[in-house]
Order: sequence, then structure tokens, then C-alpha cells
Amino acid sequence: MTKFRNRHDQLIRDGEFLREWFSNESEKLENDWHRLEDLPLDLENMRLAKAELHLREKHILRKSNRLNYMHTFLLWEYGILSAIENRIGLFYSNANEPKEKLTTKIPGSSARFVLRMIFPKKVFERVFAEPISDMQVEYIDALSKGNTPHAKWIVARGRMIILATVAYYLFSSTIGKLIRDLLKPTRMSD
Amino acid sequence: MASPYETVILNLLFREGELFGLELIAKSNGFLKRGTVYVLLDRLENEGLVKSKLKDAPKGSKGPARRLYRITGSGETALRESLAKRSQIDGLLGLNGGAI
Repeated sequence: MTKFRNRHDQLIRDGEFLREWFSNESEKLENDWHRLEDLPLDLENMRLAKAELHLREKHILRKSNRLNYMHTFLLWEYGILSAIENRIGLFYSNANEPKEKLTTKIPGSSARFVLRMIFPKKVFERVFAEPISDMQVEYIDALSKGNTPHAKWIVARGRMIILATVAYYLFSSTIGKLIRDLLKPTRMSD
Repeated sequence: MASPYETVILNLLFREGELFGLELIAKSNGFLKRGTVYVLLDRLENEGLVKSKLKDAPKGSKGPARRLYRITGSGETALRESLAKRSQIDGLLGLNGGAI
């Protein structure tokens, strides 16, 4: 990065120097043309002086053209370097900036998705959707009050409750149901 | 005869009318637990003792639609039978009633 910056500074300095040199030379030539008109020279000397100034003019013009080309080249190089520097800067800034999450899932959305896939719709809606909704409502309520530690505790407790609900549902729909079915004849005999 | 937990749910619904799951837990003074109440309510609903309907969150409060529970006629009959049997048992054992 420092290397690129130094090169940029150098290009800018070179450009300024060339522009200044060219304007000085042109100004000098113009002054000489004016001075020549005022000089008391005979025709032959005037012709020789004019030829000298024409030569200087051609030389400056040639040099100015060369300078223009060079300046264009420098501008082009400057543009390329700027683009590279911007790209590198962007890369470094992206690499150093902490990545922020733009969207955050509400706690329980994964559990909702998984349980909906595992259990029948009716069972999910009656048994599992409610404790998840309880947790989400309480979580949002705690966050809206600015009580983040309580919100975190609600999520931790909510996860345990969901697990307990799943375990209790599985137990009551298998072993529990078996026990209840075994007890039914006893109830009828009562 | 309904289990003690089921009897508590039926009794609360009979007394209070319509209740949400969390309200049932709160009104049972810790007798009903969050991990079991919805399984019990599902079982009672399957037996036709309780009915539920989805109710939208009140205006101004955010959240999904919640299930509101109420006791049915069969539920009231089952509650009366259960309470009678329990009072009989309590009488035989010399108890004066518990959490129910």
C-alpha cells in the first residue's frame, strides 16, 4: 500500500513539474518574440533571429508533444494504480471489518422446522407449536424491555422445555398409552 | 377417572372459562409444568373433554396466534365424576383434598 501511495505522489509531482516547465518555456518564447519586435536590428539579423526563434518554437512544440504523451501515459498509469489501490484497500477493509449478520432467526425456528418434519401436522400444532410460541413471545417481550440476560435464560429454558415435551409426548404416546389401555378393563369393571 | 393433572386442567377450565396454556400453568400454582401441559391438553382434546381454537395475538402485541382452550360438556361430566371419585377416596383415606 505504501509503495503505491509513493508512486502516486511521484506521478503527481512529475505532472506538476512538466506543466510548469512547459508554461515557462512558452512564456519565454513569447517574450522573446515581443522583444524581437522592439530590437533595432537590420533585415538580415532580424531574419536570423526569427529563424532561431522558429527553431526554438519547433523544439518546444516537439517537446510539448512528447510531454503530452508522457503526461497521458502518467495519467493512465495513475488511473491503473488508483484502481489497484482501491481494490486492495477494499480487500483489506473487507477483511478487517467484522462481518455483521443482517438477519437473525428468532430462537425456536429451527426446532419448529425439525419437529414439523418429524411429527404429524395435527400433533405438531397441538403439542409442539405452543411451547415454541411461548418461548418466542417471552423472548421478544424480554428483549423489548432490554433485559438481554433474561431473554437468553428464556431461550435456554425454552429449549429444555421443548426437549421435555418431546420426551413426554413420546413416552405418553407409547408406554403411557400401553399402560392406559391395560388399565381400561379395570375402569370398566368399576 | 382422569389423572390428577387432567383433573386440575379440567377444573381450571371449568372455573375460568377459556384459558391459554401459559395461563393454565400460572393458575395451577406450579402444579402443571410447561413440558407436560400441552401433551395433557392434546390427550384431553383427543378424548373430546377439551376444545381448542387458535386466537390471534392481541392488537399491539407481537407474536404468533395462540391456542385457547375451553372445557366441553363431556369434559364437565368427566370432571364431576373424577372429583366425586376423588372425594370418595379422600373420605376413605381420611384426607381433606389436595391440590385439586
